[in-house]
Amino acid sequence: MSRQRFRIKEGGKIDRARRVKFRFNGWNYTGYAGDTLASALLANGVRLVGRSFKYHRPRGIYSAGPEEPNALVQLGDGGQTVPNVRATMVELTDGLSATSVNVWPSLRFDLLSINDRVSHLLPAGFYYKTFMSPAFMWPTYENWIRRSAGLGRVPEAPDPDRYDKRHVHCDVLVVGGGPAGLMAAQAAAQAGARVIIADERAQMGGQLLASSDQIGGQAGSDWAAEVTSDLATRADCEVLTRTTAALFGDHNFVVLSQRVTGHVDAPEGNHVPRERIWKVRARQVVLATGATERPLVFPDNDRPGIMLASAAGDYVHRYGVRPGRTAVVAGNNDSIYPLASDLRAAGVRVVALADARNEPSPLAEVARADGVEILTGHAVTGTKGRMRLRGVSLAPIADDGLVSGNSARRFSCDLLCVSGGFSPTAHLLSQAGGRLTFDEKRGCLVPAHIPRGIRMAGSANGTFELAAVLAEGEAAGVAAAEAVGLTTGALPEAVVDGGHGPGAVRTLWKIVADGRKTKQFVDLHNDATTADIALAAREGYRSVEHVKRYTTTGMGPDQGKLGNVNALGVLADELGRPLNDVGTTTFRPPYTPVTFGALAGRDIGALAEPVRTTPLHAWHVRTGAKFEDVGQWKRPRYYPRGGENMAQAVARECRHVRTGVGLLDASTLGKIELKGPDVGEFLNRIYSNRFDNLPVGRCRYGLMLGEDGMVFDDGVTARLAENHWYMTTTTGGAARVHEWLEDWLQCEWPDLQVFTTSVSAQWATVTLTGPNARHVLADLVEDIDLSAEKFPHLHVREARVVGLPARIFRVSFTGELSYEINVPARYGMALWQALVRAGERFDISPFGIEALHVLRAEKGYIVVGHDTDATVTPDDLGMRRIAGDKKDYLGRRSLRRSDTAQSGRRQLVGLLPEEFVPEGAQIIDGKKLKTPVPMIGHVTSSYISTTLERPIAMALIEDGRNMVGERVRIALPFDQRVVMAEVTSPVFYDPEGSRLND
Amino acid sequence: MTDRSFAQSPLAALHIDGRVADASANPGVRLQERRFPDLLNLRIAVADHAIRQAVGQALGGVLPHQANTTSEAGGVVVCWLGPDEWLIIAPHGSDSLAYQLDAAIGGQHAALTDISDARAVIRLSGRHAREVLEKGCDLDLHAKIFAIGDCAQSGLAQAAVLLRRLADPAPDETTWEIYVERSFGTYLWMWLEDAALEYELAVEISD
Repeated sequence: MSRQRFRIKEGGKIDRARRVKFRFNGWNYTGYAGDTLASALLANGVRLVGRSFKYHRPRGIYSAGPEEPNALVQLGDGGQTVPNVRATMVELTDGLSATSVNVWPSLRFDLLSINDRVSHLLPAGFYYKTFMSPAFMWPTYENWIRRSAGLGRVPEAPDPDRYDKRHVHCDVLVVGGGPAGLMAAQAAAQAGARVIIADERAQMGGQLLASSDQIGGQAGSDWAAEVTSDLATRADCEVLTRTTAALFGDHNFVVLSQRVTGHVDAPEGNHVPRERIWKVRARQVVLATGATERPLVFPDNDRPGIMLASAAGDYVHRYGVRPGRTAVVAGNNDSIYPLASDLRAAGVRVVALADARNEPSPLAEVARADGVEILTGHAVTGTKGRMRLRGVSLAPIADDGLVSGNSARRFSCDLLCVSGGFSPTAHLLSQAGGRLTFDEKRGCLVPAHIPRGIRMAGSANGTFELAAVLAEGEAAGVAAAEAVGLTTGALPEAVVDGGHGPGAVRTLWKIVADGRKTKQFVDLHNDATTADIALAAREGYRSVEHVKRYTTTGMGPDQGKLGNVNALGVLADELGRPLNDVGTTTFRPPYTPVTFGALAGRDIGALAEPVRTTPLHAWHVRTGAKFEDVGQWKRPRYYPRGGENMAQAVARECRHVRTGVGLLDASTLGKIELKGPDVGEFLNRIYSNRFDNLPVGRCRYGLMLGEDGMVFDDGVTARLAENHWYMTTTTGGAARVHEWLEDWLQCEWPDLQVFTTSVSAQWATVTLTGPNARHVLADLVEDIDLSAEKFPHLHVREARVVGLPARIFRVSFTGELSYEINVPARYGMALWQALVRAGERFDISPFGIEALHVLRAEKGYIVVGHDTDATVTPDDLGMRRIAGDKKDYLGRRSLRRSDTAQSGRRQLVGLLPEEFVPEGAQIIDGKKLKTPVPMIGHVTSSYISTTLERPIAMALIEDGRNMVGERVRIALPFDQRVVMAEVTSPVFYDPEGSRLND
Repeated sequence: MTDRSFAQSPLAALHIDGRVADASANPGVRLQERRFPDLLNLRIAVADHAIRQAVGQALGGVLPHQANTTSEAGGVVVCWLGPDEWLIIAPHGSDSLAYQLDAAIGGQHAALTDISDARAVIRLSGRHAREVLEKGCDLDLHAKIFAIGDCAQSGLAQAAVLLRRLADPAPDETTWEIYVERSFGTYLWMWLEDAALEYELAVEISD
């Protein structure tokens, strides 16, 4: 076990009392609670942490935040493993285990690093150019590309952790818990606003945690802790640490991703989620997202040991870690001077400071007094060391990036801290539709257009001096509170010491070095170089969006956090145009990757989709029914007895219905009550057939068409009283039809006096069907005469069945004598059990929807959505009789269109196939199966008919009604053969209907 | 025979009373099925002030006309569902109420429909009740916005619900009634149980 050789004796926001053991690439290490994986690795002297994406070059920790391009690790194992996590954002926990991604076979010896040696063969657009042709080779290419592409491993087992979501609303959402964000939240909260403040780190404070700046006479980090604890005690203020704002949607809808557990101080409990997605709808948003330091572009600027200057400060201040022994600091702004002093104070030897600017900085004096050699007008022109940095060349540099003469000086060092200025972190602003413009003086893209309801504050707004940052944060919080109608007083003034910001910046987009072919990386994450961008420019790319896609700069999970502005600068230089003319690319969500687990939340397993059940469900389960999913419903498919398989059970259930009596749970039917004097007229318009003349006590089958004339739903509607009607719809159409009715009543025909009320769930519906149905019911029913004369087919009666208030409909979907008995749902089980008992002496059997389908198909009854598909007219179904021309109705005019009125459309027919054929099978014209095969129709329903003792089917066939008696071919392409079938009427059984009228 | 012994509540198959043993000592969330309330759906045309008034009187108060509010008189709660639609919630066995309302309507154009069996009713309360709802409902449920006595139709998880906020049982607790179509009852109950686990759940015996 190593000894944390790079840990500073004192300081940092870590808990030195709590040692934490972890593993990296199979080696054991120790860190402290409060460390990140990255800081702990640095403390242990681990420099090489990964390989680059394309060239597999050795890489080290480059940053201390979410912008990390190199230190991507695979975290954990088994079902809990997460790929491509930034080591800089992983909080160290006991037993943590991580491995480098994108290395093979090992980090030190990586075979694909050959890509670096042959990189001249892999320029930008390599894939586009190389793998275009010949087309037949693509599958081979694809395999090859897939093997070398991608990062990390997908977990191979189900994730055992819980994930969850929460919807919240607030007056003011503050993104970013640095000085600006804390001030904004404090100001808004003091005004009484409902505030949410979110920060992606474990602690609020942002840059204050990584500097020695002071506010109000105390350390910045102490000030941040004080403000945070004040916010946390307020009732309407939510303080969310470890929470990343991943997506900014329309109307200030912001998605936050919170890491709830998986860190040292995680809440206890078995059911606490690992991550939680917060869907925030904020009236006002303050983006205090800070700034990201830019890398410097120079030859071989990617070696392990090169790191952002602010990151080095972070490791020293926040984690008490020396990021190296001997350092060179290089930059183009003032921020490098305090860093040099801080590094020295931490025990790092700073051998040189290269400031690209020619004018000496006012801050230089302190560093010089500390004995640091300061080289103004100098830049890094080269580096040495493969697995870790060994030395740096510094040389005077001209404005066009040319190194002046042969004047480079070499310094031995193991750490190079670079600062190319600061870019406001504008990802969320960009997602929200904001725009940026390049500010020459500050050397960065700053917000130019900020959408309504959003405020930028602090360095996210290009304001870098701490006193100004605090003032801007407060102003943003006050303005946001006022925008939601609240008034606020001023916060006590905070006196600041330090935090003077970067000052003027000298932008240098690249170094034009000697003739050596060295790579200058613009985008470390995607391995895109200045040469790639130059090539794109030479090849004629002008749009920055095209260059992005061609070179991959700024793409992928990184979303250009580090490389974006440098790439724009390099491109502007190549094109000889000002940076603002080149424009910017769009940042896309998420800001940093969000896990699939968090996005899925608890909508998995049994809760992935609602399961709807009928009042009789428990009986079906007890009886061993096999269920089928019908939409969200669980419906009994069949009820096997003894060792029956499905075919045997279905055949038996059909026999019960045809020869005895059967019982079906039809509770899923859609049911709608209609009341009012105009219901008859309304139904005349809604249904293709007439209803206003339906007498009280009768029911009628109706066909509903869409405005396009296509069959939309069907069902039976009854007239219970003069102004009281009761409509049934298909199971799947229940909600759709009710909305359809309300839409027409509310929007088109408000003059009609009709009220609709859905009662689908109010009634349990049991279908008693078969020749013995009347005998079973006779024993249970009071008040009414069940004889065919007194209660004929298509009539409705209200009665009491086993004492329960019931509505009984004589309608039949099986072709047999049927009673559809409806009782209030609470009594459904009582009714069902009474019928089962009363039916015992008639050998009654429950039957499922599979048998129902066979029985209805034998009768040629359609199922909308099964035999129809939104392209089928009433005439196609042979139902022109009930879609006539005598009255107007929805869809009627469409039936006169040339297409719908023409002859020879696909029409519903019956088929007698020589063997069972699958539904959906195509009916073909001609004998050959070689494509293209002319298709003249398809099978819509297909069953083995128990009654006919043979396979039967229904089909839609072109001009089918004129083909009755002919033989057609049904293609079975997977078997490479055809099945012959005779075209018949779709009514296979009892065409006179004598049985159902019995 | 139409007594309660034959009647099954929408969540009967869950055997909720058997789950009471899981109760935590200090539950953050309590769940309960409210069984067999009388539910009447009422529709009266927007402009029909006379019927509205008559029905309001029969209910011992007025029909709420402000969106997403309820009125309450004599144990009967009326929820606003739309400009021409209300849900009347009455204690079990309020049979005479429908007759009184029918009489108030007096054969004019209106629709009074018994939907007592069409809804599962789940009562949710406790310190974390609101957070449980916020896991699946995107309405603003904050006390300043969703006051006691308010109601709203919305989505909860993947079901359509009517939410109604009742009086707070304790200063830091809230109580809600969730009305969901009967067929979704089991799904929604299981979803709520699962959502409440992290706050510690107690299942209470149904009333």
